[in-house]
Amino acid sequence: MSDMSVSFSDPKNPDATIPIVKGIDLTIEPGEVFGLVGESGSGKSVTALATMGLLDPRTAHIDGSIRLQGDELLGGSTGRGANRSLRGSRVSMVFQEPMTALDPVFTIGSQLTETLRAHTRISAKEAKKRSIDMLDSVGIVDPAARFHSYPHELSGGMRQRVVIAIALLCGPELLIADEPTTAVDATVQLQLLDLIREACEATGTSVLFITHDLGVVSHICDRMATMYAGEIVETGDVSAVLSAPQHPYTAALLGALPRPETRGTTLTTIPGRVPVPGTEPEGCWFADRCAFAMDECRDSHPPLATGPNGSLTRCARIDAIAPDLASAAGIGVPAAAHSGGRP
Amino acid sequence: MTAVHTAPTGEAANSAEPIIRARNVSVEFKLNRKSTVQAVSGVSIDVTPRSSVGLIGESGSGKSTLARALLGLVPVSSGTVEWEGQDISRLTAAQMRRFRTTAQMVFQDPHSSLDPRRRILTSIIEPLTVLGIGSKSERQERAEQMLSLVGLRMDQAMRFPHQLSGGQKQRACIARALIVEPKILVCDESVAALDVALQAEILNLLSDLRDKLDLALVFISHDLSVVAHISDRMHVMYLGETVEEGTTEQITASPQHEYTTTLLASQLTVDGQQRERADKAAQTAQEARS
Repeated sequence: MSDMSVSFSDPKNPDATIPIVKGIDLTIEPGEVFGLVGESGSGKSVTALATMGLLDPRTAHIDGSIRLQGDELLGGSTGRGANRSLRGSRVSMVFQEPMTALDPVFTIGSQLTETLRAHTRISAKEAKKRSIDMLDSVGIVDPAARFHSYPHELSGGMRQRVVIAIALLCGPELLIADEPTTAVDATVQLQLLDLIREACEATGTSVLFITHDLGVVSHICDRMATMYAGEIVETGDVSAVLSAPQHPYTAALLGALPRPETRGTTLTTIPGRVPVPGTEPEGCWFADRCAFAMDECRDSHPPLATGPNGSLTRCARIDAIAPDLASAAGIGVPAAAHSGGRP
Repeated sequence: MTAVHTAPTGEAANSAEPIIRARNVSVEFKLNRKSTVQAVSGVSIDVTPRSSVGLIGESGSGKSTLARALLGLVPVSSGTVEWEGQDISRLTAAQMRRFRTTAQMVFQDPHSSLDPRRRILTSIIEPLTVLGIGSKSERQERAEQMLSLVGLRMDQAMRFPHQLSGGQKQRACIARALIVEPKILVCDESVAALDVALQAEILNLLSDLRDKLDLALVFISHDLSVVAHISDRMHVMYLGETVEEGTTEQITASPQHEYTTTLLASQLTVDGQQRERADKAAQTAQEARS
């Protein structure tokens, strides 16, 4: 997987186009799990859909380039047919809600073999065998019997395992996971995350993991990027970003998490909302919601530059505020912060 | 099942008389003519004024059913739920109306709990209309108070649900629940559908309101960090039973029941040791299974 940059716009009426995702660059190495984080409306899912080629070409304009192992995914030359053969075999996706991702009127077995036979020329018997093996490897007990089950006969966690099995069947080079664990319990979530991690390590599949849960990112991802208003505001190694965030937005997201030390206190919130696409303010887009913003932040839009700890950040004042960011994120705050409790 | 580990009550929530006292509550649902499923079995719980009780457990553990039983929204099959010393299943219609003003509920998905074809304000006033409280102008006034309490502006309240963000809609739902001036607010996964920033906002709002209005909160979630943040006491539920209850400190610091331990270990936090801790938990879970 080499240099991938997407920039795309979405027209509301035929003439005007509204940029949703603004020129993002990200590279995912083979076998890597890459986390994409941000609030609702920050453009995470749109980025994923663009990569999958699932956006309607009549309304969405995708510029820039997305390349998979050097092969260009965008551009008219390849055509839709080529894109379609790619989808599911070399790039595949796991969605948030497993019940809607599976067709309720077909058995999971037929949905597994359908995927396999659409992309590879193999016999029905062989397809069944490989499907059952795949179900087994995603941890489904008695896969041969489950092969004939309908989605409604499975629990939420099992369904999501089946969806992961379908996604991994053709041995994709890139798996896009869009909030795959938000709909399940904590204990199941942990199992699923470990499953995705292990399965991808085994096959060398890269993962683009989309979530708003920084706990999940910390658990599964190697590198991460924070998206805000359609652009990347910070990217780097997960351990570096989460232990010393270099952008006020990442720090604010971290600070908003309830944790044992914050019990009985008021959680940090981020005032305001993500700007509506097309109405981003001058200068830094986060400035209006940023606790550290100065007048200079509103003058020019900051580029992605290397911050003190090596991650890339889109904050002009990073050198001045780096120590404050750590405390804003609640890092290193001792449990003594029990002040705001009730009388 | 093992016995419930009850914490020594000590000064027991300021020894206040509970508003709702549930004793050995079981709820059964009929599946078909022959079989039933026991959603909640033999749970006892007290909701005292100004306290906040967290109910935690995985889906299907009976948290929501228990909460509904506390509000009389599902009939209990055995045990009692008492309010002011009276069994709520035997309330007269007039008493029931008064009970409805005591306990209110906020649901998980703010979008589907608001009528899409009504203005937010109409939805907020509706409980007063249904319960026949106040004159038209009084209702309007109350609604305005509630709006400012939850931080919504009047012009926002004049919009329709689809014109508001998830956090704003959840605020509207809270305003609607609070307009009858309840003593208990039951929040069933009320922040699960929101992302971190909004979740923090709503959690702050709820603890604010608890202090301002002397509310008791019953907070249901499968997210331990959320429940631990807002609750004084927690009930850990598993397969319809309370497997452990105690103060939040006791449960998070020294869990007694195996399930609580697993639950604690499955929480994903952003600290460095997370991965090792999780791996260890996965290992113990595996050993327990085999």
